[in-house]
Amino acid sequence: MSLTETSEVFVAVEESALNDLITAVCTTRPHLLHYGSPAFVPASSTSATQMAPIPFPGSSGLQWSVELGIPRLDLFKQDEALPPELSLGAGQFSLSTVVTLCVDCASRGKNDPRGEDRPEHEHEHDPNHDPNRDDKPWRDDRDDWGKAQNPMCCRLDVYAVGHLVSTWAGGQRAIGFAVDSVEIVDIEPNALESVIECLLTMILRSVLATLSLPVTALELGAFTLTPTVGPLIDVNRVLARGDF
Amino acid sequence: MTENLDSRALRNTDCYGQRFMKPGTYPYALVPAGGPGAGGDFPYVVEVVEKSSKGERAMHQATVTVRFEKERHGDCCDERTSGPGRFVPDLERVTVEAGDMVVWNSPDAATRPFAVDGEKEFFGSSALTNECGYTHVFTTPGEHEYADAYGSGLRGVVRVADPQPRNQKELRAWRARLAEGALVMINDGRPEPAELEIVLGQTVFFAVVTGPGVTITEASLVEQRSSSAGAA
Amino acid sequence: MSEILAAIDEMAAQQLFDTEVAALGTQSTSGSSSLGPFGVSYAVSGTLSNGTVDLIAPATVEIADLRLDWHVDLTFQLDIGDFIPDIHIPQVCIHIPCVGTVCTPKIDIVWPTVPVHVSFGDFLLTTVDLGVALSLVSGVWKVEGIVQGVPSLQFGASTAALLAAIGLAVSAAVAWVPLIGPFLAVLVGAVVAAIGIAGLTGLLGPIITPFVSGTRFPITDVPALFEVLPASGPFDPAVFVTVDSLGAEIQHNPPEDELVVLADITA
Repeated sequence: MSLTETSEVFVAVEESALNDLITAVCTTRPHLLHYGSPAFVPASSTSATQMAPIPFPGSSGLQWSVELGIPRLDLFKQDEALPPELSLGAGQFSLSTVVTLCVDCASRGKNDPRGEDRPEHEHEHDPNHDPNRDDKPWRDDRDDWGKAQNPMCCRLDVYAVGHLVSTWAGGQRAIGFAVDSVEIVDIEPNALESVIECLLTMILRSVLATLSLPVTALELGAFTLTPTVGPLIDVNRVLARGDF
Repeated sequence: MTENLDSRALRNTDCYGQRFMKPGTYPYALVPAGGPGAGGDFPYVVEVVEKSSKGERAMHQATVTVRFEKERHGDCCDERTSGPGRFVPDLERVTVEAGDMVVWNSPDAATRPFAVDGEKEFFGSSALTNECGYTHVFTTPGEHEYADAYGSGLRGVVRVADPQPRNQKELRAWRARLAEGALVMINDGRPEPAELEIVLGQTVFFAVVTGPGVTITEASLVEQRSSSAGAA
Repeated sequence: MSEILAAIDEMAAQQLFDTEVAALGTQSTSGSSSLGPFGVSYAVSGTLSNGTVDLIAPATVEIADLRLDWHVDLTFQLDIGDFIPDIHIPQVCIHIPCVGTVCTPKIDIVWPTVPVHVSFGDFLLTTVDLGVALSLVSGVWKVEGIVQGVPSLQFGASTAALLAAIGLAVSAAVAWVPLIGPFLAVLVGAVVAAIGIAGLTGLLGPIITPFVSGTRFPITDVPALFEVLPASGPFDPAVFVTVDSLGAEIQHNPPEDELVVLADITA
């Protein structure tokens, strides 16, 4: 059986190469896997992406961070163990990683008045406030940025299954990764597990949405491929066919 | 392709002959054709002595062979020839009897054209006057019209046939004809015959009996010169 | 087993080689050589085009009916005296009435040496076998098709036409030579015979064959440090993977023959 079949060009990328490509992206741009509010991520950089604290009445916002390990993909057929709740079907990939969730469990903030709500406009009389630096949609308490007072973290092993999607990256045809379902092991009660799984599903979907690989990377630019078939998951590899 | 038919510019296929009727000394120079002339410097001599016998005596001929000698003075060339050298005869002094003819020829094809410039007005290849002649071997086929570059009205035609030998026999026959010359007599500027047919490689003798000082020059050269002079 | 495999079928290979052959453009060179008995200086150019690609496992790309349009400018010095004997105008005497007999000296006509310029062009068709070669040059993996061996180029009718062109060139070059007319046909015939088909083949073969035999057809270039993603912002530097090894081969995967590039990478 020919590789190209009725097409002119054929490309196949083994599971290991796909993981190498993902590892290269995540190693070079770790901020794609690491997000957090100012107490954890003082500034956006290659390493991490700064995001807003979670607003909550009566506080200056909940400080948080989420950091994923470099995901490891297993293309159908299954080679890696999965929780019994997940099964790897034809055309799917499984993904395993470690997610570290952190919150800053501070009892109160440095400038918070004891036992009183602080009016939103109080900073107008704060001699330390620099109005020119007020460029964030959240409290700009820069002295505390990067200084979570009481960080509390947990590490969760996360498994997911998903499928490839065709997308665009930088004006080029690319493959993306879509999450079908997520499983976290050994969290009880089940309702909490469901909430965390839902949360992580949303997080994974968001993170993976930023992680796509141009088709040219799949064939190292050896030949110019315009895919007409795929990219799709074959047995332990991603393949695509198309015109030259 | 040019025939180089010009009595003012003597090449290896040309001869200039002058007959000397009276005893005396006739100085002359050999100069580059088209140049400024001898400029009063006539280093060579034709010595004409009385006839050795009172009776009828056939005309004798002396032939002077002209060569071009490269000559250097310091770092520069010989100014007299406007080139790095000069024309010299094999005999600097030729002695003939009255009524004899002296013929000049350069055998070297690589030598530039030259002229014989005599001190006496009648003596010189640049203007054929009396009892002189110019011979030319025609080396290109076709119709060659000639005229007098000084505008005397002298005009004639030599038609040269290409033998196109197809075999050795015809080639030999052609080569045999090369020993046959043709004669054009020029009297008072009129050629006789005015039209002549020869075969390639044959020699034509233009014998000037009397004339105002003419040239035998390919007509196209004369017309080119006239038109360029007119344009100027 | 390689991590990445890219394959093209014969149709794509045909497009690839058509593009590469066109990209080669016109090549040219110059030098000196022998043309029969003559030392000749030449300037020659060649342009490849067309060709039908046939992939043959395990490592041969055959290009049939590859067309080479070539043009050669030749210059050689022709010493006419080498081919026809010098000629002598014998002493010619003529009787001038009332004057006497005048004779000219014998004149030797020495044939000159003249430069002959020949400009000629033609084309030929040939079939070449390319081997698939791999090299790592200055950090770039290069996969190239290299012509195997020295193809025997058949100049055929070109040689006869070129001989005729040489004959015409000789005629034109000596036309100005005095007295050449009766000898022209003999001269041209002698020069053409001296060169002959063998002389032309001996010249054309070595100077034109390199346009084919030395040709390298690029198949693909892959940087050893391959850019997966370009830099796209202050926090998004370019992403690279290292191409540890690259290979190329022809695979017979019925019903197709395919040109396959194989690679292994690390992050």
